[in-house]
Amino acid sequence: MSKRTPLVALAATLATLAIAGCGAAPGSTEGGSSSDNPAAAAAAQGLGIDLAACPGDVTTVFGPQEKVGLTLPLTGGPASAFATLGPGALAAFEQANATADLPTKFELVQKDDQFQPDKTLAAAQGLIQQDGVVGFSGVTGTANALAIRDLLKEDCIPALGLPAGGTVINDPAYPGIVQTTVPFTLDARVWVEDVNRRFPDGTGIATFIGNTESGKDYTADIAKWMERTGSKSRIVATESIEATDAAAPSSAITTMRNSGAQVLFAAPTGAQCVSMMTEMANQGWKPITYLTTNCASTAFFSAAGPAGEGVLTVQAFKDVNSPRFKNDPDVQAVRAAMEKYSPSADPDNTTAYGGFTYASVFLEAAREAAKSDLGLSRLGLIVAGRHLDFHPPMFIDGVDFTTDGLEDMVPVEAGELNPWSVAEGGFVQGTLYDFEGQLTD
Amino acid sequence: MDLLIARIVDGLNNGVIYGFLALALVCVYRGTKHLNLAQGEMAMFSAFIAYALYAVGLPVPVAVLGTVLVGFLAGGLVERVLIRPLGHHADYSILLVTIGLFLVLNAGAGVIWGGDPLPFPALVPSSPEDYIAFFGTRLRYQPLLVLGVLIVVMTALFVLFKYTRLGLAMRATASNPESARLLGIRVNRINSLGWMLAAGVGALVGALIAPSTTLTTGMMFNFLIYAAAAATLGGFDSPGGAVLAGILLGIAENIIGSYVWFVGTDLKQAVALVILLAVLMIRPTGMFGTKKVERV
Repeated sequence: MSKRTPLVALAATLATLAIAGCGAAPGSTEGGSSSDNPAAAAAAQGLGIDLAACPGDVTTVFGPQEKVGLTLPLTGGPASAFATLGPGALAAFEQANATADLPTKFELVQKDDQFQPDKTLAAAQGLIQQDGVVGFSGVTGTANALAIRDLLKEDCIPALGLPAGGTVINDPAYPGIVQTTVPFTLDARVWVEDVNRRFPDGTGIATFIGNTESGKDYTADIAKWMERTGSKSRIVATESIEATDAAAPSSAITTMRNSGAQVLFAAPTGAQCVSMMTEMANQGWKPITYLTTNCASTAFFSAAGPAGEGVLTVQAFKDVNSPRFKNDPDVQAVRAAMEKYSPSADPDNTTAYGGFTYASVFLEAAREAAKSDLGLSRLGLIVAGRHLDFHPPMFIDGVDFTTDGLEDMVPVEAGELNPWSVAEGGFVQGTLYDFEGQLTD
Repeated sequence: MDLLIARIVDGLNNGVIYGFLALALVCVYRGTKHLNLAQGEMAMFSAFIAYALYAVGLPVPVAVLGTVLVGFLAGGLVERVLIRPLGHHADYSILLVTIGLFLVLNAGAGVIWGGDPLPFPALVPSSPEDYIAFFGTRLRYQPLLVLGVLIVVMTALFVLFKYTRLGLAMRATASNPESARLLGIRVNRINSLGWMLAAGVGALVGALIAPSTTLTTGMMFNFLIYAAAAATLGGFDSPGGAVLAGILLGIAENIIGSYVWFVGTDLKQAVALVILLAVLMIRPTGMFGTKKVERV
């Protein structure tokens, strides 16, 4: 044996120990493959996760400081609408860090994706590979979330609290991706049920849907719920609109008005909601109008003026600019948190409160994971995110965030159908529709 | 019949906007031979300035005139600071600068005024009851006002370009800046004036259509595509041609989108581009554009 052999053996032993040390976080009791962690194996199996295909550290408990990613448009056209999600989310994380109710402090890392799915993928890759995030607290947009879900699945990284309403988000093949906003399928279900209630013998419905991924969801969901609820109503006119079209949709309104429809299901994009309502009023067409939850905010209806009177929207979130919630204690608390922990957050901007709420889902899952056998790890977060039942402070009373593994994948399944009142300057409390546990296919 | 008239009126309302913005594109082109891709965003930003002026308490007409003045001056500033240093023949560089300006103005408006749509009041009565009944459809005052203003501006520009020494100087500068300079024409000033006129016209169209589109950072994006198509179709050196092409485009896309089953709303934009392609194949300078003649 050479004289150098013991030294080589010692070096190899030290290297092995060092690698093992790097792999396990301080204080970690978890780690390794599913074979030496039955709880992890069982939890993963329950969600259809193949732990063997995940990186080894998926069950490793987080250290005292970890990074969490958020992709959103910070530049480009959509930035003006969505960039305010970031400061709201930051307030939630900073508040959680300051109040020290979690064993891990989370640093929120925001990356610009210009709302373009290909850029979301690049941003997510950067967040995972360069920043080393342990999870995502938000991926803004349905198409954007779809663009990165394979990447997240490959690395078994959770994305909890997504502001993405697409039905396709709730896919059992991707249990680590958890939606938070009102899903379009809830919108469609409520609309159809309300029409069935008002017109038991059926009526003519016109649809005005954006030519987008969300629009495809709306079209499919409306057809699905009309069939499943045995609706006697029928679609008599279908009009669409390009997402970038800013012109008043006069031609589409003319066609729908001429169809004789008594009901309108409308899911255009952004400011098109305003121009649609204005044009309907201008043409004197007044069907019972159901408008996408994406436009259920005071900002849109204030811009529409009298044309918004009576228009119905499904709401799960408290509208901070509505008189009904202006002095709500939860709204006040979130406002105070934003002012204290994220001064750049606009306290009058509804989207900023949305950012706070989406982040609160990640944080609630983190709290539950920390209490569980799996600990606060990536797997722990995924499992907790898929088994949450809590009431985010910005949710309307009667609406909860509830998931139950693969059995109930749609977290928000209730909402109030509220009409806008010009006189009140806000939405008037309407009927609460609750389809808890009924929206998962 | 009533429905057909309603569809023509709907198309006309959009076509007037395409034509108006096309007119702004023509102003720059006639004076400088450049294409300003930021024209729509300049109009959008001007509309926000009109909103800001209105928000501080100015009457709507004063706010609109104020933003036209601001746009006029800003157009000159853009030419002096961003365009002139590149030289008259730096076509591609100037095109890239206008794309940069597009992005800066779009993002800047978002930062200043936020992402929520903002209401902008009309210059004329615009409640649902304010209209003229016309064969079962409603002619509303604001689109009629936009049409009227467009006719006035187009006529004024036509007279300027065709019958004044300044217009002649503009045409000479666009045609051959070196020769124009030798003739004593102050080419830089003429270029500036082209940008100022275009920005002023753009500011006017932005403020006039804001009541129907609502104020958002994306309000002009689609219009610019149609306006560029209209200017190409009508002729980039023909103010009247660009306006007429814009109006025809608006009506044609609406009628075809409504009555040709496989087109619908989804392929309306393609209709405009197919028409554009067809005309360019037959007449590359557009319907009313001047043929370029070279002495050999």
